[in-house]
Amino acid sequence: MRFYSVETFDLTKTFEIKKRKEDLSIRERLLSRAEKGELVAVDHVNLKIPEGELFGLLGPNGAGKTTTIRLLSTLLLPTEGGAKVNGYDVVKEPDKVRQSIGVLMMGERSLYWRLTGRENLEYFAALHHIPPKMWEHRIHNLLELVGLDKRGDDLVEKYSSGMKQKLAIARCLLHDPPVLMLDEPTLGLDPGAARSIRRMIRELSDQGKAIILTTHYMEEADQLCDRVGIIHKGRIIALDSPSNLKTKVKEEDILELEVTSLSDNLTTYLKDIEGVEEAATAVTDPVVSTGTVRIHTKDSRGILPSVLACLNENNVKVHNIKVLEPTLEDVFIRLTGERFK
Amino acid sequence: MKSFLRKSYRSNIRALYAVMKKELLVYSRYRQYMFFAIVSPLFTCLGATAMYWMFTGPSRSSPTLFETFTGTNNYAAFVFLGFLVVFYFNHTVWRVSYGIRREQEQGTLESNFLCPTRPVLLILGKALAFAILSSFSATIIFLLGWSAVDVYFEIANASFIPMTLILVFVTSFGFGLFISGVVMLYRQVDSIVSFFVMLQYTFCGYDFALAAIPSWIRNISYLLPATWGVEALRGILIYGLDTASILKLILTLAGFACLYLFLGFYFLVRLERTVKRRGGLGAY
Repeated sequence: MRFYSVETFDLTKTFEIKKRKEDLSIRERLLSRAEKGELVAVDHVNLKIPEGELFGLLGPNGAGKTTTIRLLSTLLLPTEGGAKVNGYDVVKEPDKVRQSIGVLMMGERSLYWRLTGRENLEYFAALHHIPPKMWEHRIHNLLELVGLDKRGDDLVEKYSSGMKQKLAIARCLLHDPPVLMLDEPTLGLDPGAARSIRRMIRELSDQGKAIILTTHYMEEADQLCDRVGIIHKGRIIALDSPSNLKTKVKEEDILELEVTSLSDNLTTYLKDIEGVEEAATAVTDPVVSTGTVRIHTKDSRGILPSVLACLNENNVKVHNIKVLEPTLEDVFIRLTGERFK
Repeated sequence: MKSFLRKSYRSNIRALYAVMKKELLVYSRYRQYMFFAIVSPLFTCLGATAMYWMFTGPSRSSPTLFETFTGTNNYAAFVFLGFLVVFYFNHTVWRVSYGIRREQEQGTLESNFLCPTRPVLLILGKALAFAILSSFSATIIFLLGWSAVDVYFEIANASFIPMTLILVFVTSFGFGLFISGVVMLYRQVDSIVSFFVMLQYTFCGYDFALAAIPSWIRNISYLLPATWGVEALRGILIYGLDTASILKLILTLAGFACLYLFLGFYFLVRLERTVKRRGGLGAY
């Protein structure tokens, strides 16, 4: 039987939330009852991640990526279903699970800013029960690995965001765990720092670690991951290698139009045009309503006049038109009819 | 794959020491914290000092009614000892609870809970670090009382003092565990801690004799752990009680220490589970 570093079985997490007043029935309002509703954050997720795989969990904000990581790392208890990490049950053997994982969550906020980089690593080494004789050498090596060997004795508050993120990654690696869970590791970083962290993640994967990477950057998932699971409203809606996922929309042309004065109902009108398979919009600047319109079609030349006429009728001004190669976002659009938010 | 992890009894002690060291290091790097650690005891014991001046008058003789209720004319020691215990108790509970909330807000609580170290050990480390800081503040109060307000003691059984102090710490730790759990759950610290701190200051009789209050109020006092710490220390340092009487007080305090420790652990484990079910560990 094949061993999986991470395995989930109908993993589900439901949160109790307060119902909005307008969603309550008159009876409920009068009796002040049933004021609590339910939010399904993770919905019957089934994953099998073998050793050494770099697995990407891709989805827009609020899709359930971080909740999945929290469930797998024992910070949350599942409502239904279960999961095993490195062969250990996340509910019954949380201590063994924590011994097997390195988790990067909230990046720079997971560190003590009033301690130095080295003091942070020493502290977490002690909490990971690493003997002091081992940690001195280990910390030295890790600081070197993340390029902080010369800044190890500076207070973390003096680090840049990229340096803090690198130190947080070093913290995850202290006990050399076989499974890594990295939640949005490049969020908010400048391109240079993000590139260097991606390189580091690839190297760690090459060492044989199973890595779960959550991201809402499609290019990141595309470049790095062996397999990608696209998550939407808590459900895995697609699961395959990035190239296989993209072949699902390969026969289609992707038209991207840069526009101003985007209107709310535009996608409905565009989808009514014959030949348009899918259409989705994204606002880039809400103040001046600039954004992009992405259209999937089998005949970009044929539909272009009708698309331009439709935009004109809706007072949308077109600034640029591009025909693009399909990306993972196009897979997402094809599956959900929505763009990443 | 070879792991660096070596979990043992000794590694748990090292983890405990690491938490203590981290708390003290972070504390020492906030200069204003250190400033207030020195200044706040001076301010807070001014009330007790003023009361001493007011009731004893220029002759510094004990008021008659006070002697009737307390059975001693050593007013200064009576008030300062009471104040010292309640201050120590409340500061430890206050600092541990705020420490948990601060970590929750900063985002470091989750990274601590992701380590294979039991949460109770993390809180014990905090409590030990803050007990050191509270002892520092309490020493300032003690020295102030000694030098400015003529505090003197008639020590009967000095060997019982360390045991009493340890029991006061254990009880405050149990209490702190319980409140930490509540703070984690409700993600709110001010009103919860203020309520418990106010309870101790109001009912423990640090500046009055329990005999002076109606019996139904006194029953509340007897449920509070600091009351027994105050009574035991006064028995040893002021009343010169015999060994049997002191042992009786210490056993009661030990009983409370066990009870609060049990309740603290029980609630923390239950509340930790509730927090993990609701998802509030990383809330800020």
